[in-house]
Amino acid sequence: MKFSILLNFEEIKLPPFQDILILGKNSPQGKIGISKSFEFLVPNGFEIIEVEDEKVEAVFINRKILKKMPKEKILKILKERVFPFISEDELIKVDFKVNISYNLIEEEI
Amino acid sequence: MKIETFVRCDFPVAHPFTDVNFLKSTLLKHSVVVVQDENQHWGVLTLSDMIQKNHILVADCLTQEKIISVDNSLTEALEKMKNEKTEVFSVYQEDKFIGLLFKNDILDFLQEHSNDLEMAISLKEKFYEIIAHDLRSPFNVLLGLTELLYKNIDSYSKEKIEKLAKQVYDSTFSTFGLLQNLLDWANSQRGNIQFSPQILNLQEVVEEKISILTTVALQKEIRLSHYLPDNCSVYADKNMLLSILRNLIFNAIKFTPRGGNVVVLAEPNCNFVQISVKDTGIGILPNVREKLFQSKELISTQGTLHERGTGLGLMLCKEFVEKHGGKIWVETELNEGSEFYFTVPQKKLF
Repeated sequence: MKFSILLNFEEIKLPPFQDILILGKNSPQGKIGISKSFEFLVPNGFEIIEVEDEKVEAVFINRKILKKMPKEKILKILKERVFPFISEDELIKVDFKVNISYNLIEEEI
Repeated sequence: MKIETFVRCDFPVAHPFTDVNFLKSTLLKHSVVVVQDENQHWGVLTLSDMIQKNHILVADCLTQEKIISVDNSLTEALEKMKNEKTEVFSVYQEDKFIGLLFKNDILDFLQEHSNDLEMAISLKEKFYEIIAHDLRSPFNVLLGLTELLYKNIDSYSKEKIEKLAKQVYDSTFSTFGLLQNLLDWANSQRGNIQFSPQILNLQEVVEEKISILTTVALQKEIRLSHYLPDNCSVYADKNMLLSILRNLIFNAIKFTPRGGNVVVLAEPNCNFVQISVKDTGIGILPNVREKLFQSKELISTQGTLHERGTGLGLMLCKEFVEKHGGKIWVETELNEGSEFYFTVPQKKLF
């Protein structure tokens, strides 16, 4: 008998997303269950924002992102660009990298 | 009426972080599962929650709990259930969950009591009917007889006056019996009748009753007698026992043709004494016999001399005998006679 094994490994981080999670209204995992698991995995790491939407129940946003952008602005972007593609039984992981750049820094000498 | 007595505390309980699939069979059996952990009450999971919410954890399937304060009345609770379209409420007392209130429990209770109410109304109607018909007639007789007497007392002979006075007495006697039954019945319906059993000499009680009813028996030339064991004692309420004997002996006289016999018998039987009133009367038809002791249906039959009756007497007898823990029944044969039996304890049993 002969085995053939394809082996690879890599580091992961929990939870398996780092920026934003969008929770569909009918996804198997509910808001309370996910919040509880976050409490154990990354205490104070994410903020839950409940959303008034047909398909989306809540959005979990990494607090590091909220430090850089107001949540209203983030929600506006998500509503326009992501929500239209979501089914109500889905959990969607969103990569949301924020780059902050200044065009010009002027200081008096 | 407050909802307090309807609050159920025998409900299944689940932890909020349980897989809802594990609770399916419990939910199908009990309709609800109370969700709580060591520290707090989370809510109530219903079948409707499970259908509406498609999550894995119980905590995620919970919808807003429908609550009611324990101070609410049944009517208020039903109204709230209708408005909130729910079959079950979580009941709270001063912000603390104390149990569940089910709509079906209230409806079952109301259904049960509406039957009682219907029966009470029907008995009340019968009561008015008795007053209207059975009491009115003897009073008409009394009015007529006493009018005759006071208008003609100077012109009537002593014999005529004696005859009229006798008729007045007879009418008054039977009316008094009816009034006594009505009063006993009304009191028993209101739960006002006192039950004070004591050791009684049966012979003394039976003789007391027979001496009163001898006049009535004599009018129909009926021989009224008793055969009782020596020193036979019973543990009974004297007024109730007298009422039972009065009704059974009076009925026996009523349904026995002129020249017959009515006899009171007794024999000890285990812890009870079996007393019977036997007559040589007309007997009872099978269809009437079946309904004799049913409180739902008062059976009234005219006596051999068209004596009136209300059917209240036997109903009272049954109630009073059962109050003593005894039984009452009848053995009868058409045109041969009837024997009414009842049992009362010989001594204090409990």
